[in-house]
Amino acid sequence: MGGNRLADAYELEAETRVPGHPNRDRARGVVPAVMYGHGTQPMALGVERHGLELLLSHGGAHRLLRLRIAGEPEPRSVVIKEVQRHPVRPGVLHVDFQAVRAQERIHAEVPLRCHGEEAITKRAGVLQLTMHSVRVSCLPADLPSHLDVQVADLQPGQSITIGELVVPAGLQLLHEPGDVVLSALQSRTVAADPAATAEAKG
Amino acid sequence: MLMPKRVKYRRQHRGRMTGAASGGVEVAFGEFGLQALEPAWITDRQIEAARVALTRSVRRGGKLWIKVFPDKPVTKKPAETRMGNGKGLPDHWVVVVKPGRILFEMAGVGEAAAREAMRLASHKLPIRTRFVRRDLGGDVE
Repeated sequence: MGGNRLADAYELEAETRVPGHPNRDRARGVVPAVMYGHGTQPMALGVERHGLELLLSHGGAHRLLRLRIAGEPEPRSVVIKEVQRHPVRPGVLHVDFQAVRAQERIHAEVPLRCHGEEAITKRAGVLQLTMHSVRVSCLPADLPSHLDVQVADLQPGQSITIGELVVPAGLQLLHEPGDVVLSALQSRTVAADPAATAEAKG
Repeated sequence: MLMPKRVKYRRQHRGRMTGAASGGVEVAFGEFGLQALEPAWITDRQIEAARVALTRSVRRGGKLWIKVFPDKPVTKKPAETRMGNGKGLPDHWVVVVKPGRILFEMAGVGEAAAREAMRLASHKLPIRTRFVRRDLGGDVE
């Protein structure tokens, strides 16, 4: 188990930006962004759209990044905290970066990647993910891009909890050990999940 | 057919459908979803027809979430009635859908099967829709 550790972080170019006309910036291919962090003054930035989308499509949303801000001698270590998208149109509307320090632990969302799902399907089961990602606390250098979960041995009716996840050293899961991560269900089509429907409506 | 168990008021104003959806725009529970691209009132019958199309298409296996609920009453006056004499009786229920809203979600089936099921379901709806997939971060297709 354990995802790919990042030896070298991804890089992104940014420029400082005067807030006030976000759509004007978007029209010229610059995505408005903000960078904040512990002991750092919030800074309005603009990020080149193409480079950002390329980075996001390669899993950059869950990695340690190096942000090269125009006019600054050294790149900053950041993680992406939030990506805002338009509900219909493609493209990113806004990005939040969190500046990190090498010796300070951060909280981040790490996606789960399941392996062996086909084995459950063969046993007439369906894998139901209660969590698609887990919240972790770690040093920025230890942040994995994803966590691997082996589900091939799971029988219908069984589940995997937070306590059963094997995580790399230095990584602390910010959930209760008994919280269910995923479960294998007996295969059947459920017409409507009342709980899910109620939640969606609320 | 989906409908509220009880309501505080039997009749509602029609309202407006401007803008895009502000919530329920990402695949939250399953792996795949059907996203509305136009605003519309989707009726309880249309939701039911789409649900039947989805469940028949995947037969067994998979899990389905219906992400919208028709909670808005639509009234109708009886046929051959003169105008006036108050608002008509509640006739059916609708959900106000705005562009971007995820209508259905599926999990536990392959992408090809989910795509075909969503295609069949989309033919039961009065609006253009698109198939979306959960990515790391819930990106659309």
